[in-house]
Amino acid sequence: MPTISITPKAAEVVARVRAERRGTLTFTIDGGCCEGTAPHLFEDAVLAGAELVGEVVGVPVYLQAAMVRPFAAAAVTIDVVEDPLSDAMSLETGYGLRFVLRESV
Amino acid sequence: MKEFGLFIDGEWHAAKGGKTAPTINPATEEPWATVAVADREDVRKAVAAAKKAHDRGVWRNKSPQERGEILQKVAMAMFERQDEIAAAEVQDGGGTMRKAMSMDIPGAAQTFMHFGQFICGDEYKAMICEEFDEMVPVPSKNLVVREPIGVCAGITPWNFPLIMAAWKIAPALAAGNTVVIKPASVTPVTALMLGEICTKAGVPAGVVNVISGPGGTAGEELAMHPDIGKIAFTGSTEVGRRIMQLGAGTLKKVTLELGGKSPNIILDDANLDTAALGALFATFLHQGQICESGTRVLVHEKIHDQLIEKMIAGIQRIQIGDTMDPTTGMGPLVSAAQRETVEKYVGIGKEQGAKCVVGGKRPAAMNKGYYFEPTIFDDVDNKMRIAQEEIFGPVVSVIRYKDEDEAVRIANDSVYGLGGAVWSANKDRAVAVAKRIETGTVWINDYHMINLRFPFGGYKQSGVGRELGKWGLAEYHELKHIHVGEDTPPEGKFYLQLLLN
Repeated sequence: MPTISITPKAAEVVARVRAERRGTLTFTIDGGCCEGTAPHLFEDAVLAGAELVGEVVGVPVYLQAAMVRPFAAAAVTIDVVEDPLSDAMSLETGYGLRFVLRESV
Repeated sequence: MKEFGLFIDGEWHAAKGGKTAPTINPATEEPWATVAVADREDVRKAVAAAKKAHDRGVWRNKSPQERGEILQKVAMAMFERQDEIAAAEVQDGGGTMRKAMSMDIPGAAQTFMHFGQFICGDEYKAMICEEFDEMVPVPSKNLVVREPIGVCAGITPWNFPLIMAAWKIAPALAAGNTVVIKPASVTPVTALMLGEICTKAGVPAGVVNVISGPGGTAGEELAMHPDIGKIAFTGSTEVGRRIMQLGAGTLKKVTLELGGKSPNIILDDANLDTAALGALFATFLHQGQICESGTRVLVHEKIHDQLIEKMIAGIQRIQIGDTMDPTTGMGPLVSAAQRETVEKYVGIGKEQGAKCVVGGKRPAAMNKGYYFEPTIFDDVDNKMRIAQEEIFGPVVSVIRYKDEDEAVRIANDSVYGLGGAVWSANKDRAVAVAKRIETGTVWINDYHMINLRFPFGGYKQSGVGRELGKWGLAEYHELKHIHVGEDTPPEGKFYLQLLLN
């Protein structure tokens, strides 16, 4: 099971999203193509097939199937960076921000 | 600095909120243009324009011949403005001028030419109206007709901004639809230009609308908008999944072309000189930022050492540098963020025990731009993260196998299934292997040779549906069955007895 944590700055962004959205928030980690492997913060996302691997600031964190094996022993931190041009549909992109994974390599 | 607005209803508009964003030239790290950033309201305006154009029938009521001729004019107009478009594509995305002039412009223009010509021909006529005479359950003539869906949304990635926009616009228009295109926010310019080119070439206002805006707002709005009948997306697997989920609310037709980790299998009888250079082409073209890149080279153990040697020698022939220089083969990655991702994976590869035999760092000669050297990892185990996750950069993993069964097992040990290749002197043997690979495209003794006439798309988590060819065109139609029964007195309708005495 991977170890997942969140930076205080990213936690603040989650709080900001939570204040504006009424639905249930979840983080999903997945990748592919141009976005790279990254955490996606979604509202009311159906996650059939995804594996619950932890929780940060009250938000459950899921790994999509592709990530389960590679992340089995990973230690990752969800951080946030400025990225006004992100096309991920993750909710923080509306503020010109993007969550990223910091991995201890 | 050039400025671009949102292209809606045949005209340029500022974003409602007045927001703009710079677009950065990845080779110089300097902004070269500013682009309007759409919010939800701008998206709704673009969808309304597309809906109005569809409802008024300004496009769908034209004959396929008329539409086809206009699409061919779009292709010609792209060639006429090719220097300007190529310069924009290079500055927006960091691809080389060599690629822009020999791939992006002709690839995009030919997409319009191909679909334009196809719908003028007999095959399309037969495809959109098939007739069948039936006797059971009642005598009837049956028409199976294909009609446009309505407003189609296309969301495109940053790696091939112009070609991807063409792949979404041309078949949608060929089938008689109207479109709203949202290009990637880091590379929006050429798609915006294409919107204007379509209109100037004779596509009526409102039929092609192009807006740039963030995924979390503009993208979400498109995926949920009730007036959009179909959404075609190329990009990451997770965003694809989210689009499908948001589209479920209004049961949109969805086609998705997503991530890949495609196997490039070198059989023991392959021409190694060609296979080695082919493997470099498969992974380093456009700095590896291609969804179907052959990022896992599976090589028979007995030819492994020779292949690696030839690949390393071949890398010396790739010039990294100024994107405008026609001798440059590799430019920078699209953004600082993308280069960070690539560097992270190089670290993960080393940490997990793969051997970095060449590259793995920024080129010393380039002090500006998001450049990264072509990188080969040897002794890679398919379970390693660099073999499972899509890096989307110039990094290739070389994996050894003992026999064909093992090669096929490794090839299919991935959640993705987009592309791949088999290299062999024996075509029958290669085709037999190709048939066992779970991917949407397999090339034999070639790579990246996408053909507009044939379907492109993914198995497994690489996508849903297909683009290109008549199969891709079919995705932009609704299918209708019209039953033409006989005009008879009631006694002629046997089924009435099921209800009436």
